[in-house]
Amino acid sequence: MNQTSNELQLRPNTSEVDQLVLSFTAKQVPAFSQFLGQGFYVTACTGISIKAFFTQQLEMNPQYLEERVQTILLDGQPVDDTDSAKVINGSVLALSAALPGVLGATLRKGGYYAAMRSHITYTSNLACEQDQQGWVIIKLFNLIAKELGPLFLARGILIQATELADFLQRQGSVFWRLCREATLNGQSQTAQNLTDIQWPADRLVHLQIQTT
Amino acid sequence: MDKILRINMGADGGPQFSEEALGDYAGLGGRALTSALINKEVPPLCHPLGADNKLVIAPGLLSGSAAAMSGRMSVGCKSPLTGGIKESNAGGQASQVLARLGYAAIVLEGKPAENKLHKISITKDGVKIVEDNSLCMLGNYDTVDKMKAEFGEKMCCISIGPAGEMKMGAASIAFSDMEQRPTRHAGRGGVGAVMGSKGVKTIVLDDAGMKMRSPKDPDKFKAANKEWVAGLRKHPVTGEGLPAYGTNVLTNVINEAGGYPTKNFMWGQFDTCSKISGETQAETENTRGGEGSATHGCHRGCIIRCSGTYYDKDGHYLTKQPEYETVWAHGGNCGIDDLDAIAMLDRLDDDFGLDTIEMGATIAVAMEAGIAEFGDAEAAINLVKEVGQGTHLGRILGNGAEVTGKVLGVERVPTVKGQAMPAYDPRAIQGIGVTYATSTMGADHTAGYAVATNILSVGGSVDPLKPEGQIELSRNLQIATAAATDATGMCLFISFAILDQPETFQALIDMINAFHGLSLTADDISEMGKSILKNERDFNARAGFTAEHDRLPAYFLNEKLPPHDVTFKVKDEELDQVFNW
Ligand code: SF4
Repeated sequence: MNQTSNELQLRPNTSEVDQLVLSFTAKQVPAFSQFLGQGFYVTACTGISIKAFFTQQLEMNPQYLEERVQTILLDGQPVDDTDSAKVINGSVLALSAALPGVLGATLRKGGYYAAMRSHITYTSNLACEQDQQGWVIIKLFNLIAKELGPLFLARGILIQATELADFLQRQGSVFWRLCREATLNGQSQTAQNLTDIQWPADRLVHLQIQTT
Repeated sequence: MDKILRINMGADGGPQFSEEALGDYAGLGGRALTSALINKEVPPLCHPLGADNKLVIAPGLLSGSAAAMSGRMSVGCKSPLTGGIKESNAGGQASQVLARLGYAAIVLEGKPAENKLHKISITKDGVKIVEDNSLCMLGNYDTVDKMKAEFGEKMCCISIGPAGEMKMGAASIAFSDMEQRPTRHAGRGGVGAVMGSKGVKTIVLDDAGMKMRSPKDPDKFKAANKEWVAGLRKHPVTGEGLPAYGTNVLTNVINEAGGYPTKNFMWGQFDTCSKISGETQAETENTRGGEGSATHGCHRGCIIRCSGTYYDKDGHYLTKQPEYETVWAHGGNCGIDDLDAIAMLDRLDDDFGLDTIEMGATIAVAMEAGIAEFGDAEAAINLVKEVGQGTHLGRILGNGAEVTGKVLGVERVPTVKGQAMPAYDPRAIQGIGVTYATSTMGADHTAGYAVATNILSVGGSVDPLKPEGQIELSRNLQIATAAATDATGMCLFISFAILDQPETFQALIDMINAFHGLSLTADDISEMGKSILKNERDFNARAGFTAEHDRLPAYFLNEKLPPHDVTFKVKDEELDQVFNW
């Protein structure tokens, strides 16, 4: 049984990317937390620290990374030190705000209870070349998704077309009422058109959410 | 709250009650009181469903007062599921109401000679115990509706469903919420079966005409409560994360960390977990029920409001917002990624009176045995219905994962001391495995919560970055949890605010002191935690538990958990050190 069949491929096929733009009024943007939580691709200059990746490449406020982001997982491993952990091509980076309970305390970066998950803590010191162009997958959870999600969505996120199709098909009338306009590769689309599209399995879509 | 109500269900000539002063139990509340009483008065070798067992229902030290978050109720007994001591706790309205009626505990004792059901009502005018066999095999929802019709809109209800009447090991006790729905459960350990064995279907409480409990030093109490509320509101977990997403906010992150037990603990990740995450759940609730549906309290006086209301696709009430443990147990652990199906399972569990964790774990074991396919939501719903109907298979499933595993010949049964593990795989997060193994309660997610052990200064200082610190951390957490939340009657979810903000923890201690006219220090609170655990360990030892029971099932030591491919590495000798303080 394959447990990771729905996960994003670590090397995206970027030869063909469709551009989908959905427009909403600013006060009525539906949540896209499914995509933010499942992960999206970002081009990256790899071989640098997690801190440099977020604060320099993605221009995240260092204080936000330090204080608001309480848990960082690099390839599923909790990170305690954002200066020493390196981003490489194909890394999966997940960000969460503070979480409740003993688990929340345990997974916190550098937290008092870090020993309780020492067997899965990120320890690798891979030697990797700096300044290589590559891809990383970013996952945003809970309050971080709520706060940073709109910024990423406004710039556009790269996701798998099959996931998008699944998402669009599950949306009801409320979603389509809120959506003021949809364009695919510059062409205006109806809800019906979009949900009928049969995308190839490895196709990527650059999804951009505009607010007016 | 200066008296104990004892109800002898096995008295000659029918049930009789008496009231008595607190005596030896003065100054105790919640788990401190239930565990002290059970340890002192219940013969450890008695049958959990026999006349010698007692069911103790006790509000916390601050319940019934104006203190925010003080409405949790503790239920204690010898557990039919584990055979050891049990404290199971729940929200709902009853804790505040019982405390205002002046009771520090209700103790159900004895056993009726005949198989008859009773309803008990407690008001300012007294206690009434009435035989009412018309309640037989009613679900909790119908039971509460009947009581509402009889006793009015202001009452609150403690009740059991058919599972409790059938004395199943997974049977819970339901506590009605602010909307008079039976959605809050003392779930763990089969406490509902003990209530069923006493022939009690429901206890109706009404505090009309009673006043809020007043503190010894009102000014100090008011100031401390203000500081307390401010502390809870300003912390990102209690002020933002929990209100927005509830406890299910954990799903995505635990899954990403590879510690989310999937398909009966075979994997540490569930590939479609984002469909059942707290984020998706909150969006679904707010879309179907309107903004704010995902933020609701389980009792008056809760300011965190980690709960919510789950509506079906047509916008009709289905159940309260299922918690993380429920969504995991019936969801990822059974390979089910359909939130509507999980909410239906939660509703059925609440109605039949079943522990959602035990039932989810049990169905996963049954799925591994081939009774149904992993991921088959309809089959899971039908299996829970069989439990409620009491079919032969249902009676097996209703007695939990361990019994089911034995009957169906499954080796991978995730239990400790007979109780199913909650939603974190102990191979990925080994410190939690230490707590699962050694808790007096059997595998328990609330033992060892993230309470401010550093402030309580229990167990000395620990270097948290050394793996060997896990034993000390688990010990300290178990002591601090018992003291700071279970004994005070405070909701567990206050823990992060008191972990991170010393001034908020001090406000809690100040509140207790101002209310009771005491001068407790953090050290006294930590001593209270130790004495709770000592009582429980003492009872369990006399009930036949040894160090060998403080172990995880062998497969956790041998089977690697993907994706990290880790096994549980903490040695037995280390586990044996947890209670050496
Ligand atoms: S935080 Fe949640 S569990 Fe605690 S009292 Fe409030 S609603 Fe109930």
